[in-house]
Amino acid sequence: MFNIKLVSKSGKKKKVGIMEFPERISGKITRAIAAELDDLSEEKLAEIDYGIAAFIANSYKMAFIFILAILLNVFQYFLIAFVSFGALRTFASGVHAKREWTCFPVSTSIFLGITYLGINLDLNIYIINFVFILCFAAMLRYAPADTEERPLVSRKLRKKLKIMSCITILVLYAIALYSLGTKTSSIITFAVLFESVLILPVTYKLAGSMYGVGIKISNKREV
Amino acid sequence: MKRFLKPLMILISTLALFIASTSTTACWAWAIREPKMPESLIKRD
Repeated sequence: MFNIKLVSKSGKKKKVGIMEFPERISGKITRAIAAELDDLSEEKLAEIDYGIAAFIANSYKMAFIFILAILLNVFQYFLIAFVSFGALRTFASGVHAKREWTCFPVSTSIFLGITYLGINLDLNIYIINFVFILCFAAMLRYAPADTEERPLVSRKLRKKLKIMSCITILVLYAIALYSLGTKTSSIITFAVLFESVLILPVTYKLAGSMYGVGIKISNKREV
Repeated sequence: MKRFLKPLMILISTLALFIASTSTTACWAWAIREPKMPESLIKRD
C-alpha cells in the first residue's frame, strides 16, 4: 500500500476534507497508475503524486492568468513580468500560500500588479538602481527562501541557489538598464521587487509561514 | 482502450517524476502555492 493520504478507508474521509484540489486529482491519477503499473515502489508513487500535484497546482492558475492577460490586452507586458519574476523565483523561491483559495487571487494580483505598475509608472535610473541594490542585498541575505512544504536542507544546494539568484538579478539589472526608458525596464524592476519582498522573513511572518526550515533541519542533524 | 492505458500511465509517471526531480533543485511553483514534497525528494549533503 502506498502512503499518499488516500489509502486507508477509515482515514480517507477526514483527509480528503482538508486536501486541496490539485492533491485530490493527483491522488486519483496516482491510484490509477498504481493499479496499472504494479512494480512501482511506495516512494516512487509518492514522487509521482507530488509531480502531478505540482503540475496541476501551477498550470490551471497560470492558464487562467494567461487568458486574463490576453483579454486585458496586456499579454506582451505580462510575459515580461512572468519571465522575470519566474526566472528569479526559480532560484530564490519565497513564501507560498497555504491554501488554494488564497493562492489564486494572490498569484493573479502579483502578476497583473507587476504588469500594470510597470506599464503605468516610468522608473528613472536612480529608482531602478536603488531598487536593484536593495533587492540584491535581500538576495545575498535571505535567498534561497524555502518553505515547510519544500525545505532546502542541503547546504551545497542552498549555496548554489544563492549564487544563481544573484546572477539572475544581475542579468535582470543589465536588461533593465539596456531597456531604460521603456516599459520593459519598469516591469522587470517591479518583478524583481515583488519577488524580493516574497523572500523576506517579515513576509513569511505575515503569511503565517516559517522561514528557514531547511537551515533548521540541517542544523539539528549536525548537533 | 486497455492497450493505450499502460503507455499513457508510463508517460504521465515519467513526466511527473521529471517535475518532481527538478523540484528538488529549483522552485517550480511560480504561482503562490506548492504541494508538500515527499521526504525521498529532499536533498541532503
